[in-house]
Amino acid sequence: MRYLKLLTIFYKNSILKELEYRVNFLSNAFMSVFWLVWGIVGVSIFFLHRDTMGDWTYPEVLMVVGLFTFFTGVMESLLRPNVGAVIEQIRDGTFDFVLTKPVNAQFIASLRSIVIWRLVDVIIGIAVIVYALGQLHVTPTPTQIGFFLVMIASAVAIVYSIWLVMVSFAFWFVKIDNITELFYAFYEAGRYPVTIYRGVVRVLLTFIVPIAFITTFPASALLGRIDPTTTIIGFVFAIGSFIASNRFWNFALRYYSSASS
Amino acid sequence: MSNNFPIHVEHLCKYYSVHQKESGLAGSLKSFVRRKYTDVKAVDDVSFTIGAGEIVGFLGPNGAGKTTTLKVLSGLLYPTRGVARVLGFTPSERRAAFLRQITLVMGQKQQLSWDLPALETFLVNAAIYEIPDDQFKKTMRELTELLELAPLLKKQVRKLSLGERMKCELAAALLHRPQVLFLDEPTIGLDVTMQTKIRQFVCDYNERYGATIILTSHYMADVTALCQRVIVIDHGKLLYDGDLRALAEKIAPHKLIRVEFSQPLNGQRLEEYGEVVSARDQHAELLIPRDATSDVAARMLAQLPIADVTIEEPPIEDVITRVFEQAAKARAERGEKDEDEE
Amino acid sequence: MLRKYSALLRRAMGLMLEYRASIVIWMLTGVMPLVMLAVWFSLAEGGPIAGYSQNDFVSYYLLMTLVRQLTNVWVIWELDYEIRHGDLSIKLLHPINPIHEYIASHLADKAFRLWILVPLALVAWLIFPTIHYDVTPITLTLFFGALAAAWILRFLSQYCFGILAFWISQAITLNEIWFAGMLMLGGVVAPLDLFPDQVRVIANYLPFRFMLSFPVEIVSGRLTPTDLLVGSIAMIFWVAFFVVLYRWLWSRGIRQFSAFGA
Repeated sequence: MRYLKLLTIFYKNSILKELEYRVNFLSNAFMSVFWLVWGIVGVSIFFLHRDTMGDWTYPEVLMVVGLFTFFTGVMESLLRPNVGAVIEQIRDGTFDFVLTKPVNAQFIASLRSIVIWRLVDVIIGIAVIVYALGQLHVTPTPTQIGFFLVMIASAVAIVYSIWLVMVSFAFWFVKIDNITELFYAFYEAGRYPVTIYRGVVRVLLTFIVPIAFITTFPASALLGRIDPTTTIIGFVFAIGSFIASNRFWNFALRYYSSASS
Repeated sequence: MSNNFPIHVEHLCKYYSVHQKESGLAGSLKSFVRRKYTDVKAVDDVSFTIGAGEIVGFLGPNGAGKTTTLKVLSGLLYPTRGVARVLGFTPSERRAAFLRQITLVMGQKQQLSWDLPALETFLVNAAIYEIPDDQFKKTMRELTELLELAPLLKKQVRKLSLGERMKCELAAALLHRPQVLFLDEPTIGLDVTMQTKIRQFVCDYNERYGATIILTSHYMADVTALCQRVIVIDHGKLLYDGDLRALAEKIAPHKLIRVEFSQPLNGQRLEEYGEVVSARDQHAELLIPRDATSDVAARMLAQLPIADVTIEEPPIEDVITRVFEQAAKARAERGEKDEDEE
Repeated sequence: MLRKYSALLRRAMGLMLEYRASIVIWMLTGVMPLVMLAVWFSLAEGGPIAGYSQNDFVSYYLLMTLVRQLTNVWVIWELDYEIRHGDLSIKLLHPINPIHEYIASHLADKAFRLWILVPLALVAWLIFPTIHYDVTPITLTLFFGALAAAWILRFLSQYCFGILAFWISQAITLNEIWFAGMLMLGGVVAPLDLFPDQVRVIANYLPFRFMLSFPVEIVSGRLTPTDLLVGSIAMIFWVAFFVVLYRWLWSRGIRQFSAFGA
């Protein structure tokens, strides 16, 4: 309850802050649409030459593209301004103010602000998913929607855990402000269904940098391409990563050296 | 016991592992291949206790370990060894109940949101510290009055001057009426008027709430105005802990005798009494070895046409400088190099 | 000038070594060609696509990865920051055009990258011993020329977008669009041969091709001597174009900067 009240204040303040920079809204909205079109054009090139990508038809791949955009929005509006900003705060020492507050540091560090403009990506992503469903003439069953929501929640937890772990490294290595860019580079692989990748690459993208859980699996759930066991595995995997990342964060906190004059 | 002493530190050590780098391209390449790590002893076996309501000044040159000690005490840093207890808590556990009763103000870092009015940050802190509405209003009123905040609250922080921002920072840090204050260079970069105001405010706060305060500052005036007791740290080691004036007596080997003559001197030489600091017209200042002060003063009174004489401690800045010089000399004699990092 | 450059380079090298972890991470962020390779590789399982076999894709994308690494540019982030925060005024006080300092730091970065990339390239060759390039004295010379031109084009075009920060706050966003264009029409998403004919005809003359794709095409053995000649002329045209554009924009920008300050 108290944390809910805090969240309200946090978000009110960051929306106030965002309103200071209104130009950002237009340019962000424009860029979201631009990158979406870019992604669809890219996918279209594959379908010029082949009818399926790793057994996925064009509208099915579109759904993966929609999820890719959706999670780009989640990361840009919720992760980069919070967890992502921790690296900068560690570097200039203002992370002190997070640690000296009588509220769980991970809570403040993870949820203090929101970049509302980037929620445009979330909305566009959902629109593409709905459009793809229309193209497929498919109406998902309640069970499929249920699995889909579980997979989305798991994916959010997994993405968050990855970011938290990446950022935790900044407690030891201050000069790694670009580590989140590294994640984005691998995230590019999530534009396409993971079944397109072969051998080592697929294992890597499923378990090491678990991009598959973020875009492919929720899409599979909605398309009824996934069995309950995989959903449960995904869910357990998400909880596992969440706990592990939290442990790692707490461990890394001990090495905070509080930059100062 | 911790009730008697809000702050209790015993054999506290904080070491950093730092990699060494030689200068230049060759040095970079060399450390690229193989890195050498050494421990820097930021705080080395420091013990002290501070009683409720005390204002204690931390003195020491840059890198002496003052800020590190404050950060250990506020729970930001894990001590390498030793005990630190604040209000009965172990700071590094960062319990909410502990954090609610302390505050850390750093002159060089700010918690206020740059793009928002300071009031918004105050409201956030009120929520974070769970300050009841009526108490928040009361504290805001008091702080607004003490710090003259009224015209600043609604302005965006980026539009405030440095001094105005520092006043708002202090208010943000004290909204929850902490019992223990760690002030790290709170007046740095401010002009003299603003320094005096901040100083007065700290004094008022201490009187009003009986808060325990540790203060570090480069400005001796801050320390002499606020603190009776000082703790001197250099190279991580505690050199002195006690009364500020007693420090002067203990360290400074000389006293300053200021004399005024009833008539110009004719030929009498002042040098035979002690080291002449200045001599102009009918005034003179001499440094006299501490033990000999009364003898010399008596001799001067008997032999010279003296209208007035005062015996003073030398300026505290000089005393402190002397403390560090002596410590450096002692280290040199023990064969240690001046910089531990080397 | 030579002495100035050697001093600038020395300092830049020192800085690069200081930030080596960061550079290695930046290098890893250039994996996109390899992702595209993985996709095309499995799509080509059923047989060649527009004349590209699996092995052709491997050859194409490994070299594309190398070219991308060696032509990487980031100058707009520094330029934009320094213009908006006024740090540029300090550089303008020095008796040397700031562009030289940026060039030096990019060259130092390339030296550092080469040092890591050469062993990696050898490893890649061991893993894929079948990769094949058309290496003759002529194509090799052209390749290195086109590689240098690609870097110059990427650097100068990004620099021009950076100069726009004198007037607008969204310079980096504009550059992002330019960058997206390069990924698409510069042969990263797909070799230009795989685009529909109408698109390819235009793309062949756009600057994007010469920012990445052209050096790879030169040693792919797919270009006729006429293609090579026409391509080289277009490449030289674009380099000249951006040199002129840079000079024009810079002089206008400086005037703007000194008139309104930062």
